[in-house]
Amino acid sequence: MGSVRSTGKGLGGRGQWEFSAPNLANSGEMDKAPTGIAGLDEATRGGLPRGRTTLVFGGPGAGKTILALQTLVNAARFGDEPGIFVTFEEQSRQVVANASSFGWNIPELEKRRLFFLDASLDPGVVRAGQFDLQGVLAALSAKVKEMKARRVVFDGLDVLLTLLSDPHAERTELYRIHEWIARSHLTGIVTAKMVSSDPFAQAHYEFAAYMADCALRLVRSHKDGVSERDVSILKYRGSSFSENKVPFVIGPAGLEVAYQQLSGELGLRPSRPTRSPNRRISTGVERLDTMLNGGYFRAASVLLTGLPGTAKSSLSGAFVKAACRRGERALYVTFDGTGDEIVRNLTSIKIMLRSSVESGQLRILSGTSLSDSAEVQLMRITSAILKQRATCVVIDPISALARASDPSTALGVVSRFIHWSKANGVTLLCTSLLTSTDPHAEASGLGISTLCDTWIHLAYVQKGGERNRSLSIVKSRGTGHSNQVRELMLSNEGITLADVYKADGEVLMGTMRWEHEIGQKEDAQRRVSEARIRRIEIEREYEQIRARAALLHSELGLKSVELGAAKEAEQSRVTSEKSREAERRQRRFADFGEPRGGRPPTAAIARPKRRGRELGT
Amino acid sequence: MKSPVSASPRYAFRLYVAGESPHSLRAIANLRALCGRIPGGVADVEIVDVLRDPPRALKAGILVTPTLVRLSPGGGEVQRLIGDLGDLSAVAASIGLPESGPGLPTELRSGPRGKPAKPMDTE
Repeated sequence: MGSVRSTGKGLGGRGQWEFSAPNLANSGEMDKAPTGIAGLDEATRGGLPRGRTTLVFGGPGAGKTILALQTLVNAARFGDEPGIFVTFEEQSRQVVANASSFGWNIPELEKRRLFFLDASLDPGVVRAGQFDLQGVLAALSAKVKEMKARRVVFDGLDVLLTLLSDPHAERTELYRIHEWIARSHLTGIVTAKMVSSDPFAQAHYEFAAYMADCALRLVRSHKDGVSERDVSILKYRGSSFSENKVPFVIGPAGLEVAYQQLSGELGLRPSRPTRSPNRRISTGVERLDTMLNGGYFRAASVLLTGLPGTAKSSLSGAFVKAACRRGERALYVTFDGTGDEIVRNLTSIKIMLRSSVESGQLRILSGTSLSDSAEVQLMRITSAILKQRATCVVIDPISALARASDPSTALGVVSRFIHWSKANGVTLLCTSLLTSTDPHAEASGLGISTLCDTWIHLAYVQKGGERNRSLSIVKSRGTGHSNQVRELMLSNEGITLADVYKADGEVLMGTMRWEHEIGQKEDAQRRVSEARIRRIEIEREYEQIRARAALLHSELGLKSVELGAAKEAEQSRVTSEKSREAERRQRRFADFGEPRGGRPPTAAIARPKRRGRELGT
Repeated sequence: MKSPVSASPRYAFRLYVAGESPHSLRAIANLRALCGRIPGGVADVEIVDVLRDPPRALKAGILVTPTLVRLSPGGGEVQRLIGDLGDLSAVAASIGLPESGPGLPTELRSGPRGKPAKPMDTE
């Protein structure tokens, strides 16, 4: 028979449940009957073997009866498959009463789709020899035909079998049931109590495990006082299955198996579509939005780490307030105080949450985590998110989930939660306490820093006798971000970040920053005035030199005139000297040039007239 | 198998069996032997085959077969015994019959704890 679709009401208000197997990587050839239990159908790749026997065993209180009953109820409610529940251990009224808190509305189903057969033996019954189950099976055959039943559960079969005197008889009856189930074309579950951790060590149930086509083992253990439950598929003839031990919880609507495939498919299967109208949403602090290039990505996971008192809760409050302002719904989960305390503390830094709480837009959930395992807490939180229809969620601190479980379990739980939030379009802000100031110690502690998209670290910077809060973005996937360390300031005006102030390669905060700022200002002023003085001096010198230059220039003029005159004088002297020489020679009757033959100098008297002119007057 | 009803039968039984399975046949035989121990030798016995009448078995809350229901005079249920009644002495003791009595000869005895009935004179 192919898949059966039904539009029954979802379990725990989760919306429509598709009660069919084909889209769950079914091996194809084998017809499987879905259990309708979240996570179990994934782990079994489609459900239990149809028309065959599945053995469910485990210790007392492990959850066998609930698992079997839930499968039957789901099949009746959503798969249109009536079923019969035969109980050998508890009275059927008791079984129904125990399950009443799950909201399965069994009385309604009992009208046509469910039949309970109380097969628990009265204590007064005397055992007087060998018996078999033909009676009950015959009676049931009639009922199966009447109801057109497709499923059957034999709950607590071990109780009946111990009444048989020997293993041979037990095997015979087990085989009788197995055969009857197959012959009647029913999908059967047989539950049996087993106290040993390894069924194959128990000779009693060797045969049962061998005979059944599928065997599930439920274990409930206590680790450090915290109860943890898990289910393992020990065998599944003819099908692939998940071989690992998978944790589960018994939640408000029944069993929930936390199965997560490696490919990222979820155990807690949501039915709401992912919505991303705006890519980025505000952090609640404007300057932080700028540092993050717009804000947090929608459906991202943000980790805020820091020592106590570093304002993680304040930033968380700002985030939810911003969400409410946008008209979205938010959930604030706190493990550190009550809702009223949170609202009061945030009011002092001007983050007003009261009106949002009153209008129902914001819900503050106070959790106590001391005794619950991480699984149980996760289940509570996801239920609360769905109920609140929140798109922005704060978990303060997420390290509270690790208090009760061991670190690897807690990390698995947190990892699943982050995936679940992303798939549901929930933007998640987690705070985490650090025991050391080294942010990288967080990475080796719980290890969520590697899972989150954005990691913001808050610290104290101690310098100059003061402690100031600092904020830095250690990483932010998929977005550029400021890598500066900024001073975070809380005041009754709200939260903001100070301007970045660096000096000598170091960021300064608080009064040191103020002092340094002042110092810098003074320095600057001084340099300006020094420069001015220098300029004035130079100007003066320049003037002086210019004056002197003018003076020299005029002297120069005078001197050049003198020089001219002297030159002239020299020139005329040279000329007159030459003419005087010529005169002298004439007077001495010398020729100009070389004397010829030696004329006696007495000839000079003979020609005085010619010279008269030259001797002048 | 119905024995003649006396005026006031001390013992009344209803035996639920499943067809003619080995357990059922043994139970019938053993019941007959038991009846042999009743003082007076009469008892009211009704045999119900659940394979033929399943709803009746369901209504009576009969789960395993064979189941012997001892009815008080008047029709109410006094006691239930499950099994093929193999251990006759024990069964006799639990229903208040003498542990042994003049059992009818040639009975089918079997079952892991079945003991042959001893004739009265050796008691």
